[in-house]
Amino acid sequence: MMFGSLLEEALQAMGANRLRSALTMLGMIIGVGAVVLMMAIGQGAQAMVSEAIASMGSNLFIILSGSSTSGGVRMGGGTVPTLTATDAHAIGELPEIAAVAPSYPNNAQVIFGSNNWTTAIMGTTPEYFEVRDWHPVSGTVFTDSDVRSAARVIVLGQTVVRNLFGSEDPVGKTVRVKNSPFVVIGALEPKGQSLDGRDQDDTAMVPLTTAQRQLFGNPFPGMIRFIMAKARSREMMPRAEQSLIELLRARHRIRPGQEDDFTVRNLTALAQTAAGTTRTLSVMLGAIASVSLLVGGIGIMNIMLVSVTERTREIGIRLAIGARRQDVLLQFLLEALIISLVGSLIGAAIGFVGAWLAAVVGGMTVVVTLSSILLAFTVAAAVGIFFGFYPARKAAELRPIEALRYQ
Amino acid sequence: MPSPLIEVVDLVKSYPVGDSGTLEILHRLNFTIDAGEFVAIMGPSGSGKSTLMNILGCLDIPSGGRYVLNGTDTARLDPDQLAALRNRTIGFVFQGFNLLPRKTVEDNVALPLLYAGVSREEREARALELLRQVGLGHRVGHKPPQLSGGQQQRVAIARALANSPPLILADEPTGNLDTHTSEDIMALFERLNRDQGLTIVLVTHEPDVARHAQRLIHVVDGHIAEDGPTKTILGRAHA
Repeated sequence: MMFGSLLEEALQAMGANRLRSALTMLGMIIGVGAVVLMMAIGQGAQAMVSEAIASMGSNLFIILSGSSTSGGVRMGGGTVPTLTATDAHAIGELPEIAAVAPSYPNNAQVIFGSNNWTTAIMGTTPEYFEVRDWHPVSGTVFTDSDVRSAARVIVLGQTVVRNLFGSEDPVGKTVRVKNSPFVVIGALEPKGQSLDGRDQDDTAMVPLTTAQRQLFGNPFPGMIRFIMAKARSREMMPRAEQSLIELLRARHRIRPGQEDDFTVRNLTALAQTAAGTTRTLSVMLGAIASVSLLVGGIGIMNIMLVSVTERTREIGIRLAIGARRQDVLLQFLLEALIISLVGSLIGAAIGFVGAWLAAVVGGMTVVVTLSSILLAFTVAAAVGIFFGFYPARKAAELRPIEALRYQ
Repeated sequence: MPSPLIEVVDLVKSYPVGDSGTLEILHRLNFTIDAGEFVAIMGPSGSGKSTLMNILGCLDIPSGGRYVLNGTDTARLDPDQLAALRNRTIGFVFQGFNLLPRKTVEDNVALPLLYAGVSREEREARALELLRQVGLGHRVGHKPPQLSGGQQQRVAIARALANSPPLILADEPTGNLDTHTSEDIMALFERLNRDQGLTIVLVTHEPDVARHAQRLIHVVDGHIAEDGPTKTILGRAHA
């Protein structure tokens, strides 16, 4: 009950000097608004990166064919077909590897009715969909028996579906690739952009054998461009990489000291780096915004100190008629707390609107989480108490006789 | 015999001056005031009467000697206990009124009740009753600056009475008022003393004001020069 009365006293004192209370609040409004907005942007960037990482598939290796050297000119990775489907099969036998997908991609035109679209057509095995965590939204994906029989079936990515079929369901329709008819058996869920900005949905999959024998006529039968392999867990990745390299060197009869004729890329490591960078960015944005929160807090202390000096006589009167030190302390602390809490409430609302504008007008990905709002409020309350305490204590420690004499 | 309301024994007040010296304002004062008395402390400015008043009001602490108020030795109390004593045992009336200008008259009167932990409803009822008692029942919602000096001092008196303290301390209560209004205020004090048995201690430098009291303590240069019935002392001085 006493607390309620002191709260009323605090509100009354603030109401008596509205402009000053509002200006003090402004510091908190800007501080909390900046924190909420910056955290929304930072977390938006993080969300975008982690989505891209997830869409790529987790714990992933890509094994590329080696480089060739022609007359002293090194031609770069993938120029010599050194990997075979049996390499892929052998990798699949490693205990650290959960799934493996040999891949043989090439560009080709896909035609449906009067529409056509040129896309990357991936010859692969059913395990590819497992490796990449990619599931059909309608229909199904091909099976091992489709691969054995080199069946003319095709699974389409969303971009291809959109360009050929519009909003129609493609499953069961027949498309033509290089003048051969293929039955569409499935359409894949959209994955969006990859980390480097490529459209991952602009692709189609056919059985590996179909691609090798019928579509792209492989000059080296059994050769593939790259192998995707998924480790059983993140912890196993370093060991899996080691095993992979040893296995392939043994299979390719590479003597110690000789260069590998293949390249193993750890995509998860790349992704982790990207995630780390955005996390740093996010923390930095938060830190910069926190400075304005700090400035807002100092503003509160400043005004409260002025207010205590200005109201010394009032404090003296209150002490003379029986206010205890804690009554005075609590009243001034409550004033600081109300300013910081109301300020942070308004600031959070402005931060919301700012984040919404950044998303709608600026086209940015923003994520406003409950935790960022709770954090802003906790910090605001802490700022209010921390910066309000010194002036409040100064008021409470006044000697009544001196306060009363103060002019 | 009941113990006196105020008991002052060898009371000394001194202030530090320079590096090591002290300036003694009050020199070993001794007096008692019983419940129900109306006492004027009179003296020229600089005599130490206001310093004495501040000590009696527990706003300041003595440098030496004892001050026992209502059976409590004030030297043993911490600041919060002194605050409680000021809240419950003493009602202050100041020369400059010392009302909170932004609060309504009613809220001003109710403030000591707030610090006594009285509920809002009771505070409002009591404040209204007190304001009626001092003849300001129609000014409840006004703010102090909207009132005349005499009216403000009545509000201050109502505030002093809020917690029904046994003692009213008035420091030059008529110092800022004209003669006519002063008479009104003094009549109010007399009535409170007579009708409610309140002990009133009044500080003034004007014999005309002091005349309203029954007993007069004349302070000169930090000593008690005279202490006796007002009529005797003033009658002799003005004879």
